[in-house]
This record gives sequence, structure tokens and C-alpha cells, in this order.
Amino acid sequence: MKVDLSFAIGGFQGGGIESAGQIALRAFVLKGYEVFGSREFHSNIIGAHSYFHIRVGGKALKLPLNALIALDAESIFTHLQNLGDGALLVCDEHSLKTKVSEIPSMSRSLKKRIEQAHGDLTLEKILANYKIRVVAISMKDLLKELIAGGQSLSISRVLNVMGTSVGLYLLGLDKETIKKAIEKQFTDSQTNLRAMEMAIKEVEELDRKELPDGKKEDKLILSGNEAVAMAKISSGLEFLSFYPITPATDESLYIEKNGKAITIQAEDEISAIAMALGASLAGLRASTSTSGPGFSLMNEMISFAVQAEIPIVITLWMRASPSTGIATRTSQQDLLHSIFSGHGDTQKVVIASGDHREAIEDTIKAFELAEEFQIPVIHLLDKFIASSITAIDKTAFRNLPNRKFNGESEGYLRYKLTEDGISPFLPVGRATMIVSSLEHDEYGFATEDPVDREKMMLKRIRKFEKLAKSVSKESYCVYGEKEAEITLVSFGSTKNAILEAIEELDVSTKFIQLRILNPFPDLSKEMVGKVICIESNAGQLSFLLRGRVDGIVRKLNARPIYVNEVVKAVKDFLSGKKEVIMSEGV
Amino acid sequence: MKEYDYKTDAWVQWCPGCGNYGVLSALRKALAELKIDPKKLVIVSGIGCSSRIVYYIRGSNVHTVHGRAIPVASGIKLANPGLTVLVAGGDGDILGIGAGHFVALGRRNIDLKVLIHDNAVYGLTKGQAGPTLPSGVKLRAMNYANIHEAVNPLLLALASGYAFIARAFAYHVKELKEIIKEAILHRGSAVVDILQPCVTYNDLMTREWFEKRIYYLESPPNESELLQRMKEVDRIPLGVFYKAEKETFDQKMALMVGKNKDLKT
Ligand SMILES: Cc1ncc(C[n+]2csc(CCOP(=O)(O)OP(=O)(O)O)c2C)c(N)n1
Ligand code: SF4
Repeated sequence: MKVDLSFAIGGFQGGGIESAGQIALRAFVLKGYEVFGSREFHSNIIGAHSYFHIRVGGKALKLPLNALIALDAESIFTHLQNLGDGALLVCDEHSLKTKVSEIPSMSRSLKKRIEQAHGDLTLEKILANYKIRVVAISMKDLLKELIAGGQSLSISRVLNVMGTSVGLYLLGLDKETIKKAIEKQFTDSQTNLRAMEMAIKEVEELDRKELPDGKKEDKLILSGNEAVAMAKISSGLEFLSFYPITPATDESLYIEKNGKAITIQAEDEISAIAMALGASLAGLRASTSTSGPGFSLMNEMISFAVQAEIPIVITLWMRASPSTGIATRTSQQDLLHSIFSGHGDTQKVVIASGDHREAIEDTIKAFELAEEFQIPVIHLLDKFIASSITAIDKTAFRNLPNRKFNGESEGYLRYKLTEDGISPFLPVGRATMIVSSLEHDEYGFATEDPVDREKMMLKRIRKFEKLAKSVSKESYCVYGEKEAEITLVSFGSTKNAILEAIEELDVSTKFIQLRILNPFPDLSKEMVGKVICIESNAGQLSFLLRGRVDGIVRKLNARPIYVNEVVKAVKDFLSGKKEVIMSEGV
Repeated sequence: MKEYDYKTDAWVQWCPGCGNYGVLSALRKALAELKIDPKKLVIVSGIGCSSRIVYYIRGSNVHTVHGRAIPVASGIKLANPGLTVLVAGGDGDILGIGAGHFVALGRRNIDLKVLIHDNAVYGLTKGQAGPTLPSGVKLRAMNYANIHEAVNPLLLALASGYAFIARAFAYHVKELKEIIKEAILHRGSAVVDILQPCVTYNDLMTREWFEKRIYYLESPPNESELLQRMKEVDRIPLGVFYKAEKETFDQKMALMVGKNKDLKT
């Protein structure tokens, strides 16, 4: 039996959604299933709706939902449109008496849309028109019972565990598995375990089918931020500087806590990258992480790193822009920004990862390329990967040997002209030299001589050509049929949704996933049939492929893409549409 | 080590008579007297006339971009505390575009020595007002009199937490050399504000103008006098204003990560 579930746990931010989601993920992993969970939240600390979307039996998100665990009424209103026929709704009795006009934290536009669709009725009345299974429990009674057993508690502290336990139980998980997941989640789990027991007791009489055990494996449950942080640690990172920004900071804080690297919070992003470049010059394996606004500030230093030939890995977690946009939501809007970053002819590498496993591999690869070619490497990821969580097997991680230095300290030439354009690298402090931002000769002395200039330009070009050749085989992946009617082209976190979608499509489809976007690979041999670009921006990849694209599928609402909407978009395209906008997600 | 050992064969590109020559000479002499191995000497500069100094002194030097010498130098020093790391730059570079980094360095107290070539103008971009130019002054290349107030590098350094604060005059090579030596030997973030006349663009604050006003402090002023001394404008005190023994950032960092690794060379 193939288990395929898509459900959400929603509540107000600060109400324990994070741990509820983690418990659910852990429980399904313990049971032996493939899981993927994505976290959506507002750009504030407390209040406003937040939710965890969990997919069991796949690596991508899918709508409609099979179940919703709603810790408040706002969650039910918000996800109404995503509840499929027969879906399970677990909620508090009190929520059902609520009208949308009574929810202050909901966005004005969503309120208006709900009122237009349903009028200002109680949820109970609205839900009567839906074919869903409502299981409402009385949180107040449960809490009273719990408090009677001892300590004083606020409802919000255990509500998440109660709701989640009931939901997981009704979805077919056994009590023992749920219990184990709770124990793994909390250091002191006694109260939570009692809350679970009490809540499940309320629904024990109800109909449910127990899920069979899946394939149990020893895996790590990691967010994308954590996956990259761990990969940096396993690569032997020695220096990390950052300036706080969503969704990058969690990665840096994880390294500060768990790594051996010198980790420093800089005064701004310019300083963050500058310090990392300094550390790299002094011989350490160095990196910095940021998001769009911070990357803007780093641009001048990227140019410097190219000219001065300094290895550096910059992890760029894209979020919804332009400007401060929506800080806690996803997009792929920094593709061109990263490729064209830095002024002048700035050769740099841009690698994009499609999922957690690739994020780990690419982090390690980024250090290898940066150090071999003495060049900045920009690792492009997004908020969707940053805050989504999945189970990864440990083999994804590998260790890198220490940085290699290969110059003679006597007569050292920092910018020695070599056949392949790569000069021997010695850290500052080991030879006299000049590392220079100005155009320079082999030693590093500033020069404006036309012959010197041309030689240095050619040196950097040769180096980049060698790099391009060395990565040409891994710069994109092809899935599906070789000679297909349709070629989908995309990059980054859209990968798994597209992969599942092409399984469902009944037209022969090929998928080209770009892994390295600078140097941009030659795709001419691969583009067969009609070519459609799928991306979460206004059309940046299509711009790079201009003239070769027959259709653009965009996502602009700052939410991740879903399997079902890719399927629909391709069908729309086949029925004659040239441009499709995917608008799923709340 | 001799002063000569720190010479490179690059042609020095400054205008004849520029105060930068004094800084160059004093710095070379100071390095020679301290016997600092050129390989372990890292001078980090930004962009400006003065920042070119990295090409004229033998070291393991880094010429960065405008305003960013301090963070690059910070990365180098944290990565390898065994190096002598100096930052050199103009007042525009360090107190204009790089002011945030200047403050951050004081707060961190990393063992770096900042030499401000303070000519009150943007030399390399041809004479615009620099951050230390007094208000109301109109210099040769400016369209209008300066409508900005001047920043006081010493007060800013004090407020930011620098462990060593001094002022010197570029043409007094011997005294400047001694102050630079003292700054290098003092553990912690140090700043030397070097009055460095730009003979081409600053037609007010010339060598003669300074010579009429400067005088030397006999010793660092005590706390009650310190601010007043730092603020003096009619007469300009030179010398070491402030010295404090404090734990440096590099030391604290080493405790925090349990491994501030010293590159073995
Ligand atoms: C980001 C950036 N902005 C502007 C410039 C142009 N620029 C070059 S040098 C300089 C100022 C130099 O003045 P200062 O730092 O006081 O040094 P001086 O030349 O007087 O020694 C400027 C603005 C630049 N190189 N980079
Ligand atoms: S312009 Fe001024 S600061 Fe620059 S070299 Fe000439 S005199 Fe010196």
C-alpha cells in the first residue's frame, strides 16, 4: 500500500507550531515513511497565522490537503480553500463558533475574500457545505483535567501536542509511535505525554485505520538551514561571518553553536563578506551567508574577490523581494542578481540546489571550486529549502581535506601567469606579496599598462574556461524521456514538485534541472519539443534562455510550488496558453 | 632590519611635498626598529592616495576597496593572530565610507593598528571635502564652503572603545615613528590620527598652518582633562591621548571557540 498524505498543522505564531510539525515529522519517520515538511510564517515574532505543511510519501508539497490540524479558528478559515473532499479536520469546539469578522490577526484581504465567498457566518455553518470529517474536542475541558493533575499551565503550551496527537492518531499512527516522537522532541516530556494520552482518549472510539509500518531507516531530520550548516562543518569550515537576516541566520547560529569555526556577527553585510575574505587570505576555509538585501551590499566585495582572486563561499538564501518584500516567504528572485553580481567582468560560480541532499553536496562542492579556482562561489538556495524539513541519510555528508597551499615563499608571485590561469596560493603572512584590488602585475603591483592589463584579463578568462570545462558534466541534470514532446526547464527548489508532476502527466516530458547557472551550460542539445520554463519569479531563467522558450510558468505569490499546480500549468500550456501563473498556497 | 629592507621597487606616485612621504618614512623606520619580518607584516588599505602605501612597503599586503580595509584586516587578524596587521587609509576612507567599520573595530578591540592619513580632503578624487574638514571652509577644488561639521577622530575613537588613541604630524618623522611603534606594541585596537597635509588640494591646512598650532602633550592627559584636550582646535595637541589595557577580541574569541588557530609558518 502506497501511503500518500498531505496535511497541515496551523495556529498562531508562537503557539508551538514548530514543535507540533517536528513531532509529526518524527512520528512518520519513526513509522518508516518518507516525509517532507515546509514551514510558512509571518514576518513577526508572535501572533499572525503560521503553519507546517507535511507531505508523507513524497518529497514535494501537494494540494488539496487530506487533513488539517487547526489550533485556532484562523487556521481553519485560512486553509478552507485547500481542504479536499473527505479531508479530516481536527480542531477545538470553540473554533467552530467563530466568525471570520472576529479574527483580528487575519489579513484584511483574506477576510474580505472569505466574507465574499461565505458571508460572515460561524465556521460550523460554513463547514456544513464541505464534505469533510470534523473532529472537534474541548480543549478547555482537557486542560482543566490536566491542571487538576498538578502544575499550572497555559492552554497554548499543550494545545499543539493535544491537537497533533489526535490528528496523527486519526491519520493512522499508533500511540506508541506518537509517544516516541514526543519524547524525542522535548527534553522534559512528562506533561506533554499526559496531554497526548488525554487527547487521544477523547477520540479512541472513533473510526480509524492504522497505517502499516514503512521502511525504517536511520536518518537525520534536518531543515535546509541545518543541512547546509552541517555540510559546512563537515567540509572543515574554519571561519564564518554573518549579519542577521531571515532566512539565513539560523544557518550561522547553528554553526556558531555546533562548529569549530571562528564565527562572528559583523556590523553589516559588507563587513561580513570582507572579514571572510580576510580570513580566506590568511588561509582559512571561509564563508558567509545572507539573503537578497544583504547580498546587494556584498556586491562590491564580490568584484574585489574576483580581481584579487580570493576563495569564498557565499550562501544566498533567496526570499521574496524586491527590497524588503516579504522577508519570511520564498522566491527565486535573485537568479540574475547572483549571476550578474559585482561590477566589471566578474567570473564567479553560481550553484543552485534543488533539495536538502543537493544543498549538502553543493555546499561541499562550493568550497572545492572556490579553493581550486580562487574565485567566489555563490550557493543559491531559498527560504522554502531553508525552513523545510526532511529526513536525510548521513552519507550525504563528506569531509574535505584541509586547504592546500602551493607557492614558494621566496620569489612568490601572487598573480603568476600560468597556462591554466591558476596561480600558486600562499596565505598572507607566508611570503611578501601584494593582494590587489587594482589591476596588477604578477607580483601584485598596480599597473595600467595595456599589455599587463590584457594579460591579466586573459589569465582570469583562462581560469574561468578551465572551471567551465571541469563542471560541464555536472552543471545540469536531465530527467524523463530523452526525445520528449515537452521540455521543462527549471532550477532550485522547484525540482521535486516538477519531478512528481512529470510522473503524473500523460504527455512525454523531459525535465532539465540546472545545477550550475554560472558558467551557464549549453543546453541546445537537450531542448526538445516545446520548451517551458518554470520559476518562482517574473521570468529570470526565461530571460537567460531567451529565444528558445515557448512558454513561461511563473509563481509570484511567494509560496512554494505544488505538484498539482505544475501538472495543471503544463496542461494549460498544452491547451494553448503561453503564460501561466501558478497561484496555489496560503 | 634596516629601513631599506622595507622598500619596494615601486615608484612612489604622490605629489612632491605631500605629507604621505613623512608617514611612509616614519612607518618604515618604525618597522625596522621593531624588527618586524616583512613576511609577517600585513598592511591592509582601502582606496585613496594614502592607501597606495601598501605598494611602497615590503610586506604581505592587501589593497582592498574604498572603506573596507578594517573588516578585511579584522578577518586576517582573527584568522592568524600571529601577524602584525596594520590598516592605512585616508580620512575619507576610514571616517567617511568606512565609519561604521571604524566604530565596530573600537567595540571589538581587535589587535589592529589604524593609521589615518588625515588630510581633510579626498585626495585621489581631486579635492572634495573630507570628513575632518572644518565647517565653513572652502578649499581650492570645492564649489562652495563646507556645510558639514567635521568629525573628531579622537573623540569617535574614544567613544567606540579603542585601546590606544594618538595624534601625530606627518612631517615630524621621528615623533611619528615613536608613536607608531608605541601603537604597534600596545595590545588592542589602536588609532593614530596623522595630520597629513595635502599640498595639492588643501590650501588651508598646510604644513605652516599646522606648525603654528601644534604642540606635544608631555604625557597622556588624565581623565578629567582628556575630552578637553581632544577637542582643542586653536592649538592642536599631538602625542598619545589614551591607553587602556583591556582583553582583546582575539583573546575572547579564542576562549569562545576553544581554537583560535595560529597558522604555523
Ligand atoms: C565605493 C567607491 N566610491 C568612490 C570611490 C572613489 N574614490 C577613490 S579614492 C576616494 C577618496 C579618497 O579620499 P581619502 O580616503 O581621504 O584618501 P586620500 O586620497 O585623501 O588619501 C574616493 C571617493 C571608490 N573608489 N569606491
Ligand atoms: S593629492 Fe594630496 S594627498 Fe594625494 S598625493 Fe597629492 S598631495 Fe598627497
